Formats: sequence, C-alpha cells, structure tokens
Amino acid sequence: MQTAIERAVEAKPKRKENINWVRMKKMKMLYFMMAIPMVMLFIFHYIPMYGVLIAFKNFSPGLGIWDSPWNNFEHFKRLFSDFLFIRALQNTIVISLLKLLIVFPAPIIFAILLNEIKSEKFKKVSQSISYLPHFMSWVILSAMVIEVFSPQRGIINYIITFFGGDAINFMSDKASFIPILILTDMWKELGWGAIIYLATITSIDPQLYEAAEIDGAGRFRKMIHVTLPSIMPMVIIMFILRLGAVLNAGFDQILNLYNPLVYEVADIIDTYVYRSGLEQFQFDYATAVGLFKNVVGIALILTANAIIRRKSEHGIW
Amino acid sequence: MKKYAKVLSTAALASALFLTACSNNEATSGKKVDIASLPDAGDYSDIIELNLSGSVTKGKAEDGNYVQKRLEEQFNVKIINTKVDTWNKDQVNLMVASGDLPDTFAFNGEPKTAKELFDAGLIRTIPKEMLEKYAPRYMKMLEENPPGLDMNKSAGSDNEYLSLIGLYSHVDGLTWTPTFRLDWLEKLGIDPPGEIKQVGPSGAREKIYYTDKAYTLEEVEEIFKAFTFDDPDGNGKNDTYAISPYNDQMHWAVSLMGAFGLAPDYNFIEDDQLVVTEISKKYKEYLKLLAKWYDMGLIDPEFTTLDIKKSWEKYKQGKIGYYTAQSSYLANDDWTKGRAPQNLVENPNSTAKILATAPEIGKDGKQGVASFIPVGNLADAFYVSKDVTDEELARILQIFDYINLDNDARWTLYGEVGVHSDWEGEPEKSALIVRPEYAAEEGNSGFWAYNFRTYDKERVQWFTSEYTMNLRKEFFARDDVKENMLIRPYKWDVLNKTKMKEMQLRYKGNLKTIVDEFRMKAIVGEIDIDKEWDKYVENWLNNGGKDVLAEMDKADKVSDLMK
Repeated sequence: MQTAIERAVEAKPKRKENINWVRMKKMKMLYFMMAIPMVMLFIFHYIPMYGVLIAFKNFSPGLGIWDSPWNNFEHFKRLFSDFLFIRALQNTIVISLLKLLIVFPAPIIFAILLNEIKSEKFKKVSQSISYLPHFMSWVILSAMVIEVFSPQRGIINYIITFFGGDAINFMSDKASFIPILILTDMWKELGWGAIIYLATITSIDPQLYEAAEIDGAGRFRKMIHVTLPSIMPMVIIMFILRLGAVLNAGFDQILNLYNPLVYEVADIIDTYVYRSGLEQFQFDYATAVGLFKNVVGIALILTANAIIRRKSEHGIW
Repeated sequence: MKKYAKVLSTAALASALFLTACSNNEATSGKKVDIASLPDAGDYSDIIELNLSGSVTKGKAEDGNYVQKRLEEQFNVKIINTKVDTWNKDQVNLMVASGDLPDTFAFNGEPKTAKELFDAGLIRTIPKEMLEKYAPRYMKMLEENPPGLDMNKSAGSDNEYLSLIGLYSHVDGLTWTPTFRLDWLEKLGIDPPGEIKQVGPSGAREKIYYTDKAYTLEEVEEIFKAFTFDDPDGNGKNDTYAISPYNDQMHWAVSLMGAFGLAPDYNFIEDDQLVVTEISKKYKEYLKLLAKWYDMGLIDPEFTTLDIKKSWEKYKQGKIGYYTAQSSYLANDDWTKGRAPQNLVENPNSTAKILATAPEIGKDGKQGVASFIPVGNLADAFYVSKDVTDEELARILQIFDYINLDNDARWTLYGEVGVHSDWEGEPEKSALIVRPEYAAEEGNSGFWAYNFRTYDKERVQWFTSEYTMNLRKEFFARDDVKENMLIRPYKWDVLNKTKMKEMQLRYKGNLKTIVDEFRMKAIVGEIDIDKEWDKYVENWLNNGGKDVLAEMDKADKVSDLMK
C-alpha cells in the first residue's frame, strides 16, 4: 500500500520542496509537539545569551545591559591577576582530568561486567543498588562521607587504630582529599552512568556473539572483540561531551566536602566564584567566569570532535 | 553544581530582564519636594495602592490577612503582598537584578550598600522634610541615637536619606560569653571565678548558672588541660576535649579573641598604624596560643570538618567542656532549642550543668567581645523603591512610623493580647506567644509581614523571655559591662564618607579565603606561624586588603561618632 509521501513523490518527482511540505503536513502534530521545546529552548537558552554582554561591562541593574558602561575587559584582567583564581583553575583541571581518567571508564567497565552476569535477579539487584547513590544529594552524601572518614567515629580510622595506627583526619588532609573526591564521585555515579552503555549493549546484534562463538571466542574474547567495539561510538560521544564539561569539576560535591585546610588542592572555579562573585551580588564578574568556562568547554568539544573524526568515523557532528 | 547553575541561570535570566529596566530614579531622587503640596499628616482621603514587604518576610503573607485588613482600613490603602522570600538568595538575586522591587523592602543581610542600590537606580531617596512631617517618632529615635541623623545620607546632600535605619536594642551589650561544664569543674575540684546564680528554677534553666566574674587565660588553660586529660566525665577513657571549634563562623572564639583585645574584622591602632584584627600582631599571638593548645591536644582535631550545626550535635554528646553562648541560649528560649551549650541539659535526665562566666581575662587585663554593631545601636536598612512617588512615600512613612515606632501598634506583631497571643509569664515582663490557631509570622495573621527590624527596649521585651531579660539586666547589658567589655572598631564609616563598604564587599571573598586558610593551617600546626606571617600579611594586603584599609583610614573615629 502506498503512503501519502510515496504518492506525492510519484505525482511530482521533480519538486523536492513539495515532498518536504507534504511530509511536514502529514506530521504536523509531531512538528507542533517539537515546536514547544524549541520555543522554550529559544526563550530560556538563546535570548538570555544577550546577558553575556555584562561580562564585559560594569553592570548596573538600573542602567540595564546595553547602557551599563564597557569596562575594557576589567573582569577578565581581574580573573587572571587573581592568584586564587589561577589556583582554582589549576585545581579544576587536575580534578577534572583525574575524574575523566578514573571515573569516566568506570561505568563502561561496570556495564560490561553487569552484562556478563547470568542471573537476571542478581543483575537487577546489583543495578538497583548501584543507582541509589545517584538519587541522593551531596548535602546528604557529604555527611555520610565525613562520618565514614571521621578520625573519631569513622570505620576507616577504626580499622587503622585497631591495628595500632594513628587516626588520620582524611577530610582535612591534602593528600587524601582528592582520592576521596574521585572515589566518592565514582561511587555516586557508577550505576547511573552505566545505564546508557547497558542500553547500547542490549542493542548489539546477537548474531555477532554467535559468529564469535563459532570462531571459538570465549566470554572474555567476546567482551573485547564484540561488546567493546559495538559500544565504542557511544563511548566516544560521551567522552567528547564530558570533555566539554572539563571545567565543571563537581561544585556540589566539593562545596559540601571541603574546608579551608584543603582549599589549596580542592578550591575549584565554581567554589571560588561562589565565594567571591555570586555571594557578593557581582553578577558581571560571575558572568565573566561563566563565559570563560563555556568558551574553554566549546573549544575542547570542537577540538576533540575534529580529532576523533579524523581518526575514525565517530563523533558528534 | 545544580545550586551554582541555578544561581548563574538566575543571573543570566535576570540579565535578560534588564533590557526593559531603565534608569529613571532622577524623577524621585534628589528633586526638591514641594512639601506643601502633599497631604497633611493623618490625611488619608485618597486611596493608595502599595506593594509592601517587611524585613524578615518569607513572602508567605496571605491576602486579606488580619494585619493587612486593619492597616488598609486605618490608612486607606490597598496593600499588595509581596510573594518574595527575602531569606532566599536566588529570589533576592532575581528581584534585585531585574529591578522589579516592591515599594518597600529590606534584605536579610546587606548584599549591596545603599549607595550601590541608589547608583544602580533601584531605590529613591527619602527627604528629611518628609520624615519630619510624616515620621516624627522615627526622627526622634534618630536624634536620641547619635549619629542617627547623619547616617545614610545621599552623597552631597544634607536633606536626603538613602534608607531608613533600625534601632537594635535587642543586641545592646555583650552578645556572647564563654561557658564551662560546671559538673566537670566540680568533679575536678575547680572553683568558679565568683558567686554563681541559677538562670531559672525550671525548664533546664535550673542546670544553667552564671557569674559576672571571669577566669584568666592562664586559668582557662589549666581548666582545659583538666577537661582533656583528667577524665572529667569519669568513664575511665581519654575521650574528652576542652574545646571544639567550628570552621564556618568565629563565634566560638569571640571571647578568647577579646582577651587579646581583638574582635573579628574590626580595626584598631597598632604601632601607630591602622590595622584590621586579622593582620595584627595581637592576632598572631592569639593564633599561637590556639596552635599551642591544639598541639597539647586540648582542641578537638575534628573541628576542621565541623560547621556550627554539626558542632552543636557534637557538643550534645557530652565530650566537650567549653562553648560560647548568648543570653537567650542560657535562658533556654524556645528559638534556641537544639543549639549548644543548652542542648546538653535539655533532656530532663541530664545531670550535666553549665556555667557561664564573664569573658576571659588576657595578659594585659584585656577582656570583652565584639559589639554586634560597630557604631551605636543603629543598623540595617529599609529601602523605598525608585518608582514610589512623593504621595505614596508620605503614606508609607506614616505606616512605617506607626507600625515600627508606636508601641500601640503591638497588634501588627502579636495581634491583641488575650485574643491572638498571651504573655509567656508575668504580663509586660515576659515574652508574647502567639496562639497556635494564628500564624506567628505572616500567613493568616500577617504578623511581622510589613514591619522593619527596629526595636526599642519595650519592643525587645515582647520577644524576650523574662530569664533572658534578667540575664541582660544582671550581666550582658549592664552599663559597666557594656562600658568595659564591648570591643568596637577604632574607625568605621557610617556616614557614607568613604568607599569602605564597597571595598569590603568587593574583596570579602578573597580576603576571607586568605584569612580562613591561614587560621586553620596555623592552628593545626601545618605551618610555622612566625615564618609564614609576613608572607600572609603581604598576601592579604595585595589582594584588596590595602584598598580596604585605605578607605577605613578615611572614616571617622568611632569614639567621635558616638558622642
């Protein structure tokens, strides 16, 4: 049975615009449904972009954005002459790269391992347990983390002192704070992050596994030569997107866990801006920092995408 | 990240709204008011619509509430309730950034100075002539509290005020004083420094004592050692600490700093130069004492991860011997429930006892705590929006003068006694408690919904228990105590002569970071205070401190301002 589009194509094969128009007309409800989020996107994500101008101005609410005076990049000069910002930038990059290196692969490995579990019941229970921390805010989790690592009540220090060692104040120790950040972030997001890879794994053609079996591949070989290459496009997309957020090192987590003794290694751009900009109603300064972060993020996404495109057929665009 | 993203997106969204915001404060600022053309005081013949917000409001006043109806009738106004939570930073951010402000408003805290708000075109000025005509009680209050008449004036004008100001009689006197575990002192055979009295006969107050005498710092050190090492709780374990500070505020240290003549963030003269506490030599000595105590094991090492609320919980476990307290804490007033140190004795089965003493005495006989307000007892700011006309202002001022300064307007805060509220104890000598069927604040009653934080002594009584009042009379706000133990800054700008406040706000974030880091590292012994001190001071000065100090130096001496 011919569809309306096919009939339209047959009727006027040379008028491509007509085909598109007929297609759109047929799917007008879908287009209408799509229009709602598009309008919202435009209103809430594109129109406010005008506000980015205040990053280059001494912003005064009474004058408005356009009439506020330009300030000759004053906010950016202040940023890069402030040793606390430079330190925060360094910390952000270090923490973010460590998370990229350690936390990013964890859900991939977890998803692959989960896929290998034969007992469906055990698999579902494991999955559910791994999701739970994702749904708790860092305000709650930080209290738990601080208790676990407490020098007086924490289980870690209990074990250390049980074996004759001295209690360590982990949360105030520069050497242990970053590993705790990485580990707790991994613990919180491991299960949730694995969902997308599990979904990709379920869409792998079973014939590929059968073919591998015929070729004599065991479970490990199938994992390496079938599962991993099949989810690689998704891994690459997630990697590029994560790279774009490299200057977001985990504001909620760090704000709730850090203290002045570990500022030296844990103060990131977001916590710095929170203390120095937003708390003092310095919208223009905070916007300048936000703009800097976004420019770096976009540059990283574009570069990574271009490199990966050149080396393989995968990528976002 | 969500929190930050929310704030940032609020700012960005607000930015879009500025497109429509325009600077038009000239119409209502600095212009000569034709006072004769305005209605007489008490002439409410024309109905006026006003969008009002109080100063501790959460935007929860229900439309048509009790206070609203009475005010509308009395002043012939139509009140539009403001649905903004003035305690919520995101909401206040958006309100300020968009310029969409109610006719009257005040912030919880002071994120922007009055001058900044005026320069940003958000507020109008208030002519002195109008205040004299429509707010005589307010003007009388300013006259009685120097330098009230000269505060908050618009730059270059002697007759225009940028905001209205509040009288803070409730914080008159000492705000904090140290407490010790009295049951531990007794077990260890350590005598109190003077005659002790019970705060009250019941409600856990029978376990709280006070004296107006103090221990010296040397004595405190000996007590701290005994608290830590002599098993004061008698459980046979070495599990107690003398003191458990917290890392987000400095209240735990106010009286200890006072023993060095110091008050956080205040300035004074040292070696003929104006310095702020945090870069002074005395502060260095204070830090060295704390570092010594930490090294001796007297300070709970976990303090680095405790904020004030966690610290209250920790104190409640009964392993800490020292904590600072306000008078209302010692009186165990309702609003202080759960806070340390009185949370330890709240449980009827608790055998613990607490002793509040006068602030510790330092080497040079120094003793005291920071005054809550740097100069006098006037503080806070109540603003009038830029779009308010002179006619509207005339009505606003009359409402303001009545509800905040005429004590017949008690009903705006507590309704009618016997109908909406009752005295907690002896009438007129204890606090007023709103009956449960009415909202204690805003809601269906509208209590506190339109008021400003300004309280004379009579008003203070309305929300203060008789036990707190007694403590204030006997010690915290006694004249000789105020005179000898209140630490005020040497110089402060309350007359808008300098850019001190702007500089403080601009550099506050960075300077606080520098100070917090150094203090914590110094106390836990991570750095050698003597070796690192000069570098720290230089760092502080080079990151905005120099500008802050320079502006402070231009300000008036506090002693002159208070004459």
